[in-house]
Amino acid sequence: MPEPSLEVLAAATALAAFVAGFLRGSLGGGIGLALTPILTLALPAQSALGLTGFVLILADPIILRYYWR
Amino acid sequence: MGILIGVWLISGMPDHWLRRLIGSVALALALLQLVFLTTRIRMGHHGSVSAGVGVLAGMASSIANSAGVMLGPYLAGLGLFNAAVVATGGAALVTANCLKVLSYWSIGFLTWRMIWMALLAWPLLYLGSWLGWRVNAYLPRRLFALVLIGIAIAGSLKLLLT
Repeated sequence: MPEPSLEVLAAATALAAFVAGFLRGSLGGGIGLALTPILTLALPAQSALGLTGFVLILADPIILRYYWR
Repeated sequence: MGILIGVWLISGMPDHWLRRLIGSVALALALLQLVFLTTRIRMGHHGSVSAGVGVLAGMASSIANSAGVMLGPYLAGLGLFNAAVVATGGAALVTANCLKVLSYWSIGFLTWRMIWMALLAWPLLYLGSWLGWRVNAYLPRRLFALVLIGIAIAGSLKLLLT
């Protein structure tokens, strides 16, 4: 699998983290729908899927903390 | 089960085929979400529908990280209010996402470099989440959802046409 450069990966990760956090906190869903195709334009498809998946898993505990009732 | 089927499908797939698959799935799900948003069509809650939604959501999750497109309307159709849909969907996806990430790791889609980068970006993730939680009650959901669908469609078409 081709690895993206460090600069591209850092920029993509920063964007993915903020956007995923915001969308998970507000809408709750549809994050991957918008984020995955956009990231796939900048990164190898495998990296885009892996990165988005891991960022979403980091977002889960944060959202459960805010919305736990 | 849907996640495992999806990961099996994409493991070993060449990059250009995977891009087209992601574009196709994302486009289909974006159009599906548009249908749910603009019509009164709702998912039934018979056992077979629930099982089908589960499998399809798992596959959508592993191929395009888009389980929410299937789960959101299903949960909303149960009559839950916004915050409950977000929370319930989030709780359901926690286990699914763990399985998905382990599967991605096993097929080489996730590397240590990506993990470290994502961990370093955690403050941005927290900031985005906090901001999203704060605006949840004030957000024009329909308009915002339409914008997201538009972005998804544009990105998908770009993937399919290049």
